[in-house]
Amino acid sequence: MLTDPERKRLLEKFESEETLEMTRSNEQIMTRLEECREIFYGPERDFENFPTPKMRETYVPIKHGFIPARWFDLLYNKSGVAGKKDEEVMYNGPIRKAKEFTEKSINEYNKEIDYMKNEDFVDEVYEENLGLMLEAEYRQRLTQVHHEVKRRLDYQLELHNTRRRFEQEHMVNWITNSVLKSITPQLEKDSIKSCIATLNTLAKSSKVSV
Amino acid sequence: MWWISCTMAGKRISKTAIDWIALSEKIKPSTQDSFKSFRTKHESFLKAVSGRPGELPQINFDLYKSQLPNKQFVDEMQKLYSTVAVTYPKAPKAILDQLKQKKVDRAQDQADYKKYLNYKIEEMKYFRSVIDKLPPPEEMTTEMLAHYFPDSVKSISYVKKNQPIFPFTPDKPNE
Repeated sequence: MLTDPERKRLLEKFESEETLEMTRSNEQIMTRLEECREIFYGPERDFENFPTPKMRETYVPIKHGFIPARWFDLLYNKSGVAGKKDEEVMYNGPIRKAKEFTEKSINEYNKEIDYMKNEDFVDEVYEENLGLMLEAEYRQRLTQVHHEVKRRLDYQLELHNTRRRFEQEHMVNWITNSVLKSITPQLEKDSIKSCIATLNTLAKSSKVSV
Repeated sequence: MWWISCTMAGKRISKTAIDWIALSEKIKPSTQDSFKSFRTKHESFLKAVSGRPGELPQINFDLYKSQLPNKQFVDEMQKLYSTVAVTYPKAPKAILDQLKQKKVDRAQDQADYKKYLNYKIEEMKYFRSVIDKLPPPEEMTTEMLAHYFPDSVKSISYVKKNQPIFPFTPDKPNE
């Protein structure tokens, strides 16, 4: 399994430098452990003449004839008893942690595989985006058509209105100018005289007492 | 696929057919942020579509006819406006091919990743089996320990060839 070329390709595709180094070192460790197992427990091992050794649980108890035993008890409190305690720290502990690590990893990988099933929506979203872009372009074309036609009609309207307004203003100015020009000085004097005469008659007829 | 029918029959779209809320609950927690940005990009397209009219907007030609002297012009405009045929845009072939290619690539990547994960699971199971076969602590002698875990033993006689010792020269491993 470790020499599979497909596995090598996938490891290089999906793992970073650090994790690659870690997997390689792990592989080395495991191959070494396998080789050691072959050496010590394999078919070439002669268990009859060389049985597996059994370590004592405690040190061989040493007691000199004249030294009181309780000093040894004190020492045992400080130094501990070789055997089970060291085993736990140096040997069983790390092994247990390694087993937990493998279990945790397997659980995580299985979770990843489950999550991967839910990632197929991406293709549908791409298709929808394309459709929406086309629709937006079509709507843009509609607004453009509307805008252009309206622009031309509004232009004609504005043109007509300005022409009318200009004509009106010009005519009004022309009429007033011509009227003002036609007022000769003789006409002025006559109009003033007639105004005074009418005022006199009005004054006589009204008889307003002061 | 519906995009084929879109280019052929001009089928129109203005809303999503995707349940975003349900999807956000199903995805990995580490990809939440990229999912959000993906969704906002999609919503930008929706906004572009909804901000514009769906059909050709109406023009009040009677108003113009009543005010302008040149009614022939307005009549012509009206006729053209009512019969205008705005073409629905067609997706260029390059983009459709790109989309197909993306789908294929994504499927391939997914298959590769799945294979990779399966390899990793096998690896972990193999490690577990090797660790289980280790001898119990009562049977482990110092000699065996030097073979199994050379780092934990300082004696040189059982050190393997590629273990570094003084002087440390990685170019020429110890001979």
